[in-house]
Amino acid sequence: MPMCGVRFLVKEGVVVKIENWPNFPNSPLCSKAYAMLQRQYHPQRLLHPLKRTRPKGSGDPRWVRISWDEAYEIIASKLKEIREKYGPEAVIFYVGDPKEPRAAVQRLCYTFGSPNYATESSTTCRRAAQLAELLTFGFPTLGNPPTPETRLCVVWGTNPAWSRPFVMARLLNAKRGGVKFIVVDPRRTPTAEKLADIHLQLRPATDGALALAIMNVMLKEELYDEAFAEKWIHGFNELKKYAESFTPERVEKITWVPAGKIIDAARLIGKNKPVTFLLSPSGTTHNRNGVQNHRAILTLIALTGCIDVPGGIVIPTYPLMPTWDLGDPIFTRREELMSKLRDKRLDKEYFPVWAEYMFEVQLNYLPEYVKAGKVKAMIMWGGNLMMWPQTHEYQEAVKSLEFVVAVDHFYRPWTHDYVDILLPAATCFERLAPFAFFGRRIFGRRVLKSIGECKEDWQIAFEIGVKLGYKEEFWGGDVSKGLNSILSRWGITLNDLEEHIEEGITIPAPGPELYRKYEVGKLRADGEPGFPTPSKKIEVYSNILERHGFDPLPTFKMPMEPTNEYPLILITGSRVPNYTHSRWRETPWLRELMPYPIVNINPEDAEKRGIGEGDDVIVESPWGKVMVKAHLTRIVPRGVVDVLHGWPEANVNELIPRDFDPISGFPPFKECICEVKRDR
Amino acid sequence: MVKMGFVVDLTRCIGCQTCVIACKEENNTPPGVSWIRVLEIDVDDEIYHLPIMCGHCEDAPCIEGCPMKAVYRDNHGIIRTNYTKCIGRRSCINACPYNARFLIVKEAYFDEGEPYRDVKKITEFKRGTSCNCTLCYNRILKGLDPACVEACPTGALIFGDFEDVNSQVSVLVKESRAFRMVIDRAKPRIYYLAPSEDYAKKIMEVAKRALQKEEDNDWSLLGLGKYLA
Repeated sequence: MPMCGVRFLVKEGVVVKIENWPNFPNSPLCSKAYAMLQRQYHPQRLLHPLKRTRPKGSGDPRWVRISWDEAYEIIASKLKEIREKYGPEAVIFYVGDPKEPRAAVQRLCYTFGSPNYATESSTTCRRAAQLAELLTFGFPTLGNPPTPETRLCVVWGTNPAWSRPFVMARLLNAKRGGVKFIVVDPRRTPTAEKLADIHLQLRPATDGALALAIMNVMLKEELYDEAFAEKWIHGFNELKKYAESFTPERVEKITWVPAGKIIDAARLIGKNKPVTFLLSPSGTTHNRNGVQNHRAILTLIALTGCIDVPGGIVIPTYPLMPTWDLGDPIFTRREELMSKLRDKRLDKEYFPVWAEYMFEVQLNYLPEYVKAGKVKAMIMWGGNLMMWPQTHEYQEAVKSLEFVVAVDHFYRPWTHDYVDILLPAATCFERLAPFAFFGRRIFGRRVLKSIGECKEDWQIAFEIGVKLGYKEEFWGGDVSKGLNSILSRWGITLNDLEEHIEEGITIPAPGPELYRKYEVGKLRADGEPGFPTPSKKIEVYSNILERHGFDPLPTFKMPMEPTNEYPLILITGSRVPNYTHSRWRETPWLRELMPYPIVNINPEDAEKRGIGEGDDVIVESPWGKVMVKAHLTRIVPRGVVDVLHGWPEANVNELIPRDFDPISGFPPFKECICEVKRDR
Repeated sequence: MVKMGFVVDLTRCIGCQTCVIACKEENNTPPGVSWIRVLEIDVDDEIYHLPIMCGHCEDAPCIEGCPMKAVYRDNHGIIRTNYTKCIGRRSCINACPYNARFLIVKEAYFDEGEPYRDVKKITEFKRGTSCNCTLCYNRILKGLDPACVEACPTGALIFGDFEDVNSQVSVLVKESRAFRMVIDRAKPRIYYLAPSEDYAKKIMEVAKRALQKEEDNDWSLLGLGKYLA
């Protein structure tokens, strides 16, 4: 299975063994991969389309089994009716996790005539950082792992040890090979413990101040790339002036990071080039100043000048197409239709910068959109209402819609109690689409027969498309034809992929990888030298932000201040080794590792409160509370506690206020204040 | 006789739990049985992850402790349990200071059935008997590493023959940072590599306490907890 390099052995039609696929781009596997059997053959998997027979909000939905034909009939007639009455934009097409359905659902959304396609990335995950990247660099990047040229790697706000162990393995090897590491994380993660020459253990949500203090030292001690800054940074003088007040001594008080360590880090960065960065897709943007905090980190990268150089941050010269989580602009019909649909976006008045840059709609204002009568129906693949802060408001909003469809692997009451039709999705063993690609290397899949009546996500999207009258646009419902329409660009077919299942097919690049492409006009569509931004430079000073009334510089704002009543800072949304968000908890092999929801609390904070290991405790913020068990650990610093998201019995997102970053609309998952008390 | 065992490099263990699940997947162990597990320990404010498994000890207290002679060492040096002789008295479980032996309270996870178990015809787990890591003997006799070792993404687990002076494990244990966690008289065929000699002693002391605490607690994160009861 080609996303993660899972090899599997089938006997009598049953998967009986999971094996690692050596030398695969994303190899080796993680714990979840080895637990796939229990998920695949879980007795509670959804196997048939279901329809509720009692109205929403009346308690038991009384689900009844229906045929796919009946399900599609209902869906198509309801969607047409709503389009007729309110316009196509009243329907939201949403994809959560997994990300594989996205391209097909996007195509369905735009073909139907709605611009309101959204994802969990555009709501609480990757896209706020991406917005910061597009505003500042003009291209998306989460940085690059070290190469043989790299001398220093800065890992900022991400814990690959538990999110992507195969990346961590490579980082450990890089360290063995002499690469130095700075790790920025409030927690003593295994990533920090195993890699860091300097661990900057900052107060959550103060990343911007820390980056500005490092820049303060680099500017003062001339540790930055002067030629690059002069030529390629828009707003360099304004930055110099702004960073002046962020002295290490002052920032120590803001971030809790000792001034000496900040100075050491700045010197390590300034004197070890090339330097590369690994950034978090979400950790640094889960606060109300998230985009600007992330922009401050990007500005620090710009000061090193290690952009598009070997061993630093690189921009692929000849990418095949955007990753599946974004979807290809041609296949999704984004390129063709978006300009006509843009005006009907739900978010454009609320988050204008976002709406200008991101094609996915920002959905954190879903309750507002619904209350304003702008949304009447929603169809979601892998949606989870627990994802949102103050979840109950989103449950109310979804409940009040005229028509809601969900596609999923399991029945999840906290989401599906608010939907009308529930469709059973095939697992990754059972789906053909999409193919996988890494750089310019493409891999196909071997497909097993689905259990029950499960259908793969793409097929569901295609068949709904056909039922809505778009037979041609959805290849008569044939997923392989849809995939071949993409593959034909490179002169290959699914059959070719099947013949080369082991090694994949590499599409030759038109030329060798190029570096410093901004110097020779290879980054901009118009062929001019520079970066793909309005000023053609890296925009530390953003005229776009200024035009929309925001600070043009990557300014820092203090996060929520703990009080006597709520003296602790709450982090949610970090990764654990055995779950992915809310998924896998039904899998006993993984569940044994963490049977109950827990709060990670520093032993000193616990002792002050009379809390012992395994005690039942209440974590409470001004906005909500949950009951969990205490785990005493120095992984979290004093003053900070950490509760994993995605526990239906202890949904920590009820503690988070609906108080969003005004630029991205992202919630403050990593700056909320709280208190932990023994449950007596 | 060969003495197969492990070297665990604590500077490379990242607590990702892949070995734990790979073991369950390979061996189809019953609910609550974890032949390898990874403890989180705190050594002077630094966090380490420490894999614990059956060390197939020399002077094994589990063998000595079993009145039924159900626990024995086979001719590959692997400590095995004879399921027909075991009467579930837990003597071996109580004797093992590494909490590496388990009583089977339920044979399969799902009452509705698990197709992969049926196809593989898993029969060796009998409710009310005890079990321990078998070193994946089916794999190692074919020259493969045990499932946990093969799955470890960072190469923190190394497997080999301590009798062979040229094996990787024999070479590694000569390093001054290597330590063996001997509790009572049980000498597991497991050596750990600490960052330095100094750390070796500290980590060993904390790890021993963690094992004791694991036995005392009725729950624990990433450990055995309630399944020990």
